[in-house]
Amino acid sequence: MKKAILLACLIAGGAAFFASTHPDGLDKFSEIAGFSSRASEHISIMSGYSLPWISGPASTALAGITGVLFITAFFFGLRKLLSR
Amino acid sequence: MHIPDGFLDPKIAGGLAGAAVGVLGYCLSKVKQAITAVVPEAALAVAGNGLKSISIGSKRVLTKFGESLLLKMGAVASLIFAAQMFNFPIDGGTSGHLLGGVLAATILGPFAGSLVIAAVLGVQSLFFADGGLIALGANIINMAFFGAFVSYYILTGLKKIIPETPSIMFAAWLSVVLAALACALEIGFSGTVGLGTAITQMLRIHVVIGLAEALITVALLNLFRKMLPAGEEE
Repeated sequence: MKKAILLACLIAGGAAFFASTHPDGLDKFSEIAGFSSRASEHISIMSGYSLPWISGPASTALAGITGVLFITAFFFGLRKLLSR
Repeated sequence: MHIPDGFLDPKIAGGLAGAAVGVLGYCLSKVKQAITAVVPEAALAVAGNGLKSISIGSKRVLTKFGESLLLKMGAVASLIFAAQMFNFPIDGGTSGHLLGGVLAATILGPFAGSLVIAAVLGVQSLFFADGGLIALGANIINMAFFGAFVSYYILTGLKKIIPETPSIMFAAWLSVVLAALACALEIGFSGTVGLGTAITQMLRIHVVIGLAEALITVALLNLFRKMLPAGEEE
């Protein structure tokens, strides 16, 4: 499973540099149909997939890898909790 | 396709949150049954006290299969989270990204697969503000319930008629279209935009995004199967 986690980190890191920055299907539709302004984003530590302290693609890459590690930790923790 | 807060009527968002709790609770109980076994807690200690007391004090413990399934769930969830960050261009300044419902359900089955997608959506909403908090239930219904759970059974049906790879590709494409349709209905019935416009516009974009979902699902599935010891799939 280490390989899968490593691959996930690589994809998340790569996405920061190579992913399309265009709005996704729903966002684009909300822009065309004129209701995108109704979206209200709650405050979150890594809003917009970037770390609060730095900016640019490196910030997104690190935020993505942090997300991968959060999710991995969640399931590892669940396993620990259940196997006691 | 993550709905932000503000697009849904609170009544609709609330109802969908309730439905999401129901779906996740059902999946959780199914997964718990699959990954745990009941063992007598102190069979030896009470053996002298007669047969009746042996059944007392049994508890559920995680099985070997359960341990490996939880690890696999973590790996699949991480992979899908990362892949969802990789937006690909579609046309006219629009992008799409993987949903991963069919990928998760193919590797993990419908219950663990749905839970994995829901966990990804939860992390995205909480830590990245990707998808609203009030809309989280709606997003779980669209992408975990329709995208993984329902699509798994469509995939099972398809596999009986056509070979595995085309089945997976068609189910993956359909999962995106289904999720988009559900999303359009929710936004339309919320009165945010006309129902007809919502359905036609969401479907128009997502029948194309679904094609990429089909290709990425097969590619990642092959990659994942190479990383797994044979025969370890649901």
